Amino acid sequence: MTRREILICSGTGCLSAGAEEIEDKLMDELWKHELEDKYPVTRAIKRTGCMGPCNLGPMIIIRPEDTFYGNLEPSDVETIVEEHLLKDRVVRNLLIEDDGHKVEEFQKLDFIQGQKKIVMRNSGDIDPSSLEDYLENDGYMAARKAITDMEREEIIEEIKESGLRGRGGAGFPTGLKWEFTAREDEDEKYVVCNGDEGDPGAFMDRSVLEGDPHSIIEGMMIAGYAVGANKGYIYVRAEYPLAIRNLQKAIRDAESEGYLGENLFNTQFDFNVELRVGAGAFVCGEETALLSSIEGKQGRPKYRPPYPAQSGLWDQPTVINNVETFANIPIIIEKGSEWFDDIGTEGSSGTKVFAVAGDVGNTGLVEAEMGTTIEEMIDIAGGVAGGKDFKAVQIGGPAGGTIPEEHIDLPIDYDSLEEAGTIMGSGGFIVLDEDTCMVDVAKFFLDFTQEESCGKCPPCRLGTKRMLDILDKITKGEGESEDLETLEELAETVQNTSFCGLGQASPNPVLSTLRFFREEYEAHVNEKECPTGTCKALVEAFYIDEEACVTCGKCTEVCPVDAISSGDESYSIDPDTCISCGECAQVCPVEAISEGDNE
Amino acid sequence: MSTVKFTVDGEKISAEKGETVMSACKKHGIDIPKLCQHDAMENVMACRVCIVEVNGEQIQPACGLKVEEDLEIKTETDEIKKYRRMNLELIYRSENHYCMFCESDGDCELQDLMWENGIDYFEHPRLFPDRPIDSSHEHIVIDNNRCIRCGRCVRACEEVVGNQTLAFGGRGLENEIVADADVPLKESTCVSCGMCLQVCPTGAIFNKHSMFKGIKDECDLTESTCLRCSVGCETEIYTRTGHLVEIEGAESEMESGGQLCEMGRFEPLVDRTEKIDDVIYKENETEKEMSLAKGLEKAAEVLDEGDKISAMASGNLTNEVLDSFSEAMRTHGALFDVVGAKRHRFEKEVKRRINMIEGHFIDDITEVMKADHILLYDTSVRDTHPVLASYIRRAAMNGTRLITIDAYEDRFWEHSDISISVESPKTQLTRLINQVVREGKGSIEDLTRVSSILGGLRVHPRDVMQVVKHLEESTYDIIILGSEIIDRWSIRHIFELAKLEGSYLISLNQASNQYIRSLETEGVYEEPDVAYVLAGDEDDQEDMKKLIENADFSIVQASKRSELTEKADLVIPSLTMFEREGTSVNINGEEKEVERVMEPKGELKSEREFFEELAEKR
Repeated sequence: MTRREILICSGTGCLSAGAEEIEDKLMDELWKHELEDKYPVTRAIKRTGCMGPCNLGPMIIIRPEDTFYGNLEPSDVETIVEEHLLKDRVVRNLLIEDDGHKVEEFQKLDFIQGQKKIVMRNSGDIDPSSLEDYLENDGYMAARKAITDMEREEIIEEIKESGLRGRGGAGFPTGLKWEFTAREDEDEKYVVCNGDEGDPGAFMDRSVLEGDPHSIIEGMMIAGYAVGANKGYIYVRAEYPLAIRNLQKAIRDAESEGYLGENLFNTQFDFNVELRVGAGAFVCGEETALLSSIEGKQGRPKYRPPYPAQSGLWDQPTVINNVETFANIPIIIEKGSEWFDDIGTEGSSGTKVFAVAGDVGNTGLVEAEMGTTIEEMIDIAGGVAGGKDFKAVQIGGPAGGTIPEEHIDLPIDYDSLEEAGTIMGSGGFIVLDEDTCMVDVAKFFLDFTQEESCGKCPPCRLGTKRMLDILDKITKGEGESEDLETLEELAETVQNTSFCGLGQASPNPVLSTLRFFREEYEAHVNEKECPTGTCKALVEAFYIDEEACVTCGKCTEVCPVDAISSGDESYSIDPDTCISCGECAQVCPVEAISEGDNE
Repeated sequence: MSTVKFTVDGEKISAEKGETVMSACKKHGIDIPKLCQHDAMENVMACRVCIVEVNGEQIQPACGLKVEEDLEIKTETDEIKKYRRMNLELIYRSENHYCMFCESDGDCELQDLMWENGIDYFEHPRLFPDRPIDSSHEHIVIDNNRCIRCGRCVRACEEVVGNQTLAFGGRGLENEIVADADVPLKESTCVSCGMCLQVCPTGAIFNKHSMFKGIKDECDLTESTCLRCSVGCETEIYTRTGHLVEIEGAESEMESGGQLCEMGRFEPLVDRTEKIDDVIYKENETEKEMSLAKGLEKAAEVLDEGDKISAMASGNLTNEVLDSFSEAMRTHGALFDVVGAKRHRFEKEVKRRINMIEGHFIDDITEVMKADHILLYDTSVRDTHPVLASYIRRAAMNGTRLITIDAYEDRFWEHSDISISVESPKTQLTRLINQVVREGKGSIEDLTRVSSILGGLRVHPRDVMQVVKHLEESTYDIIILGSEIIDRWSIRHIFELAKLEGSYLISLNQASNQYIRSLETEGVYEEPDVAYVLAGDEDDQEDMKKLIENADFSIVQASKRSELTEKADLVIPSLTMFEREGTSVNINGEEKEVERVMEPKGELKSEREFFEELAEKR
């Protein structure tokens, strides 16, 4: 019998899908079959961070064969143990199907094959709570190299040449940022990791923090050495308990094993990291607000300049980078700037992790090389779900924009996205199919930013509210002809006069949908029609054709609001009660139900 | 300071490097509209009204943007005007800005801006906020429905008053002004200085006693000096048809930020005690009213008859009144004293005995904000000299070490680094500190020795040594002696300590007019035949009460009825503080003008003339 290792994904997605139950069951089965010697729980079962294909959870990988079992039920575990572990036979009916054929190996999944894992190199592979595991995967080698073998300027030069740009959204060159801080002649400097990931649906940073916490500490340590800082802060939102737990353990372990503290790698360099937990305000993802929050003040943005690089935390020079940016650092130091620069496009090196969601086959985390087209991304994610047509993709979260079908071959990099009216943002990637109402999409994001405005400046606090009011009016069929113009004027004011990035970017979802889908807005306003039937107030009630009705009663069973009453000859729908959901029309065996007045 | 040249709307102007565009423009007479910016506070660039175009591309707030060589600023492009207008329209529709139903109608910076931008109708549908109004406080009303979240009140409370009571609560549309952890203002840590309502640009925070009494433009404005304590804040007093409407601090006074305290801003507005207009003579339990001339004659007659005459004046009068009163009293052979002067006489004596030179005394109380250590002996300054207290709090917030010693509660407990509570006799502690300092650092380390000296005092020896250690370390320390300390030994020990440590001193006094330092005063007869008390607006001075109780015949000259006038045999009207004019000397030793705010209503027009006449009636 082969000695195997069983990796069980313990990212937040899989945990909520029941990964712990699978793990318990697995341990029970190993005990039952007296396999505890061959599969000692501490070594053979490994809880990893997020593996990526979240909609396949709970999932396990059996090594060395790399066999992948997903969407597991506790009852499947017995079969896997009996068949795979005891008899060396792959359980074929538990394999995942890609395009109609069963895939045995994790690496052969379409979802994985299209990806290039740099940031997520360890996530899903190592046990995030084990420093040992990290060290076995060359952990802290880059820091050792940087601190013992490299000059500070050399490191900054290396990062500059790698072409790494900030993964928090705006894409500022990381090396340049470090250089600004390194140049400041101050004794106290800080390195801050922005882990206040707040875009709806985004969980890239969460997965890295949960799945590979030491890589962030290592990246920060290298930054600290390069700029002359001895203290780092990781700011994580309170809604990420697992990330907090894993980070706390990672910091404790690194401290006790001498990877944090004084005289690191027997040099004069000291570095310590502290964890700060945010209280759930979206605006704290804005760097100056985040720094205020670390200082114990209210999380409100501050005016720049001075930029944090010159005057940040407690008015000292501060390097503040996103989680994903720090995760890239160790591997750049390890493999060199040339290697990194060769990946991606000319202006955007490396990869970007996206949280792919919406109407696709496989939702989850996708790390793709910069320059991958939108179409390729959708293919990686298993195409548009349910065989529907692609309509658009929303990139960059509430600060981003929507890209329509005609730009499906757009390469994803900082500059192309900006040209198309959106931003890389933190990596939201929401695929929208033909049934999506774009006004509704814009409303969704604006509702979010309006709710999350800190309230400091009028354009953001009040302008977004006014815009939301207009969108609400439009989706209710009360739109007036001048509304779109007012909407644009408001958007322009909010964009140009808001205090911080949150406000300035908040009109983007509205502006980009107006740019590419204006006719949809016009249909709502002028025709009082929602082309996709999403805006319920604009959809007419359904009616039943009396001639065709066979009084089978299926429609009454599905109607969620009891709008359908029975009759001898035919059933009928009360138009005042009907919410036009269309469920009845779908179940009617004789197609007697349709939308609109019975005229 | 180097200068830079830049262009504003085509005009080349020069400014100091590091200055903001707004401040540079202001100096050149270019007013950029604003709502949140205020000269006494840090700029937060929140209101987005002062936006300007920079180098033809960017839009930046003029209050945040620093001047740079060759910067090209445009303040009134079509785009800027459009955005500014849109933001104002959004503010207009989002809160309750129905001007005709607002206390600040006519006194409102927001209203002025709306008019300037031609916004006299609602472009957008209104939001009708419905937040509870906080009217719990005795003087101040906070109506968040009219608040534009400029944050001036929050910054004033923290940066100017050093108090941190007001803050922003909630976020987005729910963002509002709250006191402490959102408690009613009355129950909060508010010190009732009213700075918040003075800086509020709209009608969101206003004065209960001044509301609906008139627009400032229609009032008469008198600039004067507050005589409630020796800080002597500059005031702007608004009156209408001879009635008091509102008192504000002069915002040109940058260090104080335009502060006043509850005594200066609110108390005169709520004072409803009965004014004295006529002379009242009490004979055989009956009150007899008489003319001022008759009163003067009666007073002269009584003074002539008396053998032992004691005269006492309030320390809150003007130099001229004090001079003429003391002159008149001396002519009649009286012993003359002023409330608070005793402390000065003690100080003079101590200074002579320990051979102390004047250099130890600070002639600018804002210096406390520059000290690295403050030793505050008697924390009553929080109530007696509230504006000085604000400087102490501001210093402590900015890192100055604050050591407090008090027999009662430490009224700076939130800010003090070392707080020592002593029981009487307080003098032992200062004696001890002196001894430790005197005997050198060796004894500082000797805990048992210090403990033995401490004797019955409930003070931890470690605290005493900490105090000494701080004083030894400091390069600029100021000792503030509160006005409640009146025993000679305390004064002596503190002055000695200052001398030993090279500390600077601020000695506070009950009297607001420090002219009494140069005025010749002496102790009075404790049981006189005749007591003449010039109380002015005072009503609760223990010394005065004691004096008339022990006198055979007492004359009280006061502006309003009080316990003093009830007990007096002869009551003569005096002017009120707003009717009086003259000069007064503040704690810094500066002579300040006290202006007449209202014409005297009674028969008495000038106290000085009255006393000159009284002197002649010898």
